Amino acid sequence: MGAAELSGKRFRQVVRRLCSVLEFLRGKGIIYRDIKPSNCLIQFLKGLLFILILLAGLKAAVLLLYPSNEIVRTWQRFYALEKGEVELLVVGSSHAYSTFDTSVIFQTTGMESYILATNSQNAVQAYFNVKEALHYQRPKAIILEAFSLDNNNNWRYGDTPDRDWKKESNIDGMRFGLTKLEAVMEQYERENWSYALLPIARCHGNWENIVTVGSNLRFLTGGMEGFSSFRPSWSVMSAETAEQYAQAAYNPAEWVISETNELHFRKLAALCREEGIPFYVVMAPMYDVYIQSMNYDSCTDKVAALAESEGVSFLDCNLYYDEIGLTAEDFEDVFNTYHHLNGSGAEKVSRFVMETLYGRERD
Amino acid sequence: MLFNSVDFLVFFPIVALVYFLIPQRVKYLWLLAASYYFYMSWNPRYALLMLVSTLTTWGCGLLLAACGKKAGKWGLGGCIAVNLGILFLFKYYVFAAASVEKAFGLFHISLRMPAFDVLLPVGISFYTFQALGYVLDVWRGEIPAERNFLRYALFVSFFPQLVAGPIERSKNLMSQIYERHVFDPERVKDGLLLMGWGFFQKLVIADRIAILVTDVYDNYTEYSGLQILLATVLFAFQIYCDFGGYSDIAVGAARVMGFTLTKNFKSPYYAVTVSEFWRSWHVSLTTWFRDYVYIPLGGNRCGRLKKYRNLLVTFAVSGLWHGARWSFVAWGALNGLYQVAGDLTRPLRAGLYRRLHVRTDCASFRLVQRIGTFLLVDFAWLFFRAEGFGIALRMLRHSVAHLDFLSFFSPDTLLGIDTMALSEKNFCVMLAGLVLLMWVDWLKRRKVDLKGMLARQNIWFRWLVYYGLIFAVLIFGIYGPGYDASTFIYFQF
Repeated sequence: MGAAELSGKRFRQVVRRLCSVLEFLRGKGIIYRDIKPSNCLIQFLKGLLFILILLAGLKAAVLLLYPSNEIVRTWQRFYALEKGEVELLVVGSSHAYSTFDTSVIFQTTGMESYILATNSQNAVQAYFNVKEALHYQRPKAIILEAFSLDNNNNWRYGDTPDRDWKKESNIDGMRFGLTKLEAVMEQYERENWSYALLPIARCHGNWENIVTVGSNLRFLTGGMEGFSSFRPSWSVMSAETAEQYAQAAYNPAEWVISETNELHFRKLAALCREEGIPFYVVMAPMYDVYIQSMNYDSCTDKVAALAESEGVSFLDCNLYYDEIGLTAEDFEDVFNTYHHLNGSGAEKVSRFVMETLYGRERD
Repeated sequence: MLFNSVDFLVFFPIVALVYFLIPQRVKYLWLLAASYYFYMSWNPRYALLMLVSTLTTWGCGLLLAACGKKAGKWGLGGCIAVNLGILFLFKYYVFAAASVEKAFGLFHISLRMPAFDVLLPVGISFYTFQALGYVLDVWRGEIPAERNFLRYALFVSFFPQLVAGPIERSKNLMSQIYERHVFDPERVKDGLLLMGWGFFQKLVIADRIAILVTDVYDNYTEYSGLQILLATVLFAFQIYCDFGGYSDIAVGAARVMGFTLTKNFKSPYYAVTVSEFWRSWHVSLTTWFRDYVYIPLGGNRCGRLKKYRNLLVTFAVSGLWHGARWSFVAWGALNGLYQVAGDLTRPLRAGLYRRLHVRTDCASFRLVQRIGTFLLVDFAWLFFRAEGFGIALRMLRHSVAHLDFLSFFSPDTLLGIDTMALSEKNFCVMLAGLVLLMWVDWLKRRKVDLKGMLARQNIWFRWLVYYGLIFAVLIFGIYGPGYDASTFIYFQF
């Protein structure tokens, strides 16, 4: 019945019945003797307002006290974007945020992009990140950087279960909602759910750390606009580092895609299919001398097979070294197994990837 | 389930909400189920011991009601023996066995007592005393025996005060189990405010002090005498805020649901004599010992010597109640001794004041008395906190030998804070917390109605106080992952 249809007589009947229910409950001792509809409503509204202010204060406290890190800020910047602003969404690990140059993507394709990539982000996190992102944006394409399929331990059954700051920050950055709850339930063991959902319990001790509070305050009050989700490395590989890669012994170990990563990659592919969003997998390049020291075929073959099984296009940039024009100077000056491109390498690769993907689309 | 755990933050609102929604006739059953769940969250097997205690005391109550005082005295004796036997077995056996072995060892006799080393069931001393208090009250004819076993089981296991008191008298709590408790927003607000204040005392003050005190007491040889003194002074506040905080949370939680529990602390550090201190510290235990140990021994109506004996015995037993260690006995006996000495020297002191024209009816005199009382009580706390009687004595010797007066008051390292485990900022928060605590206690002592005062303020001010309390606990509280010193001290008793 609509409000307009509620006649005066019927209204009085309803109110009388409500009053008799209140009287009955009062008689049973279930509600307080002074209760009356107006008091009840005022008490309820006051309680609600109190809780809302409390939650807002809690949120503000976490924003100020949280250890300053780029993962949380990547999320904060994402939520500050206008609806519909993101046309290309990139997810993945540090390889993703150091490879995809948003300004080059815009120059090449005219698309605004956002790199929702976080340190050591695996396919599990990538899936939940995309799921959360789709509540706020409607991208025209989604790219997953293939390192997310690597068998990293950023997972509840890994070497550092439930105490991984990268996983924590990625979940802490997400707004509270069903996706976050699902992400927590999926990525944490049951006894740690409350730990995962209450960042204040982990960051309140930072009240002593003026630098953290100041840094967060600066970011929230003006620094957010200048924040870029593309975060390249600016060092250039030195001759000594290049020599270290050249001297590296051959490692025949097979690349592994864990069951959980595979499962969530498939979920991600299915989600993109359901949403009708083109989904690509791109492998960011590594230094070619280093590639020669590892069993790279096992890596590219497995990713390719997985992508193919879901009907997803896979672009392995390591196969197009010459076309991209990469040299040692396009990589950062670090000797490790997860080295990144630097800014110049990112520019070349971003251009190549965009031209390749969208060239293929046009074909 | 600790009060300062996320589990309790989920458990309590559910219990309270359901309690108000269900019909009156099943409310006590709901609370009973919740209380057993609360207790079993530590270890389900502990509940069996509580059940035994509940069954024996309930049965004994019925027996006394049926047979009368004289005929039922054997039943009463059996019931007390069973309950104290369980308490002895789980809490004191290891200590007693070790003491007996040691005593025989003095005469070069090697004796091996049978081993029985089990984890102490949480709160066993509290519920055992509460249950024994009930049978003694029935035996004295002060209350009728409870016929409904489940209501009686709730009396023994009522979760807010189950593991660390207040130890309730059947006269107070039993009747409330029969009362109708309706949802009263003002009372709920009061209860929550008291819980918030309890959390503040525990998490902001007690657990912050604990960082410093634990470090100093664990490594006392690395600290100067004055630093040990500082730690001991702070321990007095740690234990007060730890236990007082727990009691406030317990009383507040009960109040939310409509129950009124005994006030366990009455601004104890403003006491002007040691006996006054004991009338305002852990009131529910002190009155239990007064009513069931001190008075049955003869109290103070049996001559001076016997009175002193009764006092010393009661306090030594009270010390032992706190834990199976000689240092607890020493702590208790020392507090008894203070009172004996105070009584003996009263005429002497009065004469001295008269001769020296010292005014005893002024604030400055009471201030000196308060400081003196605090120092005496605090000295006894050293024995309470130290890991053993021998260690307490060694700490005393070390403190006297390494007073280190100059470095303690050096402007570069004031109070030696920078060499202690607590940072300067945390030390300042702790001091601010203590100032607030003492201010609130002072107002309470002056019988200022704090709740009424707050209730008369405008809503923005009231809410400012509520939010201030909540955020002070959330931000300045010592809690969260990696912090394991959050167990309430009195849980182990």
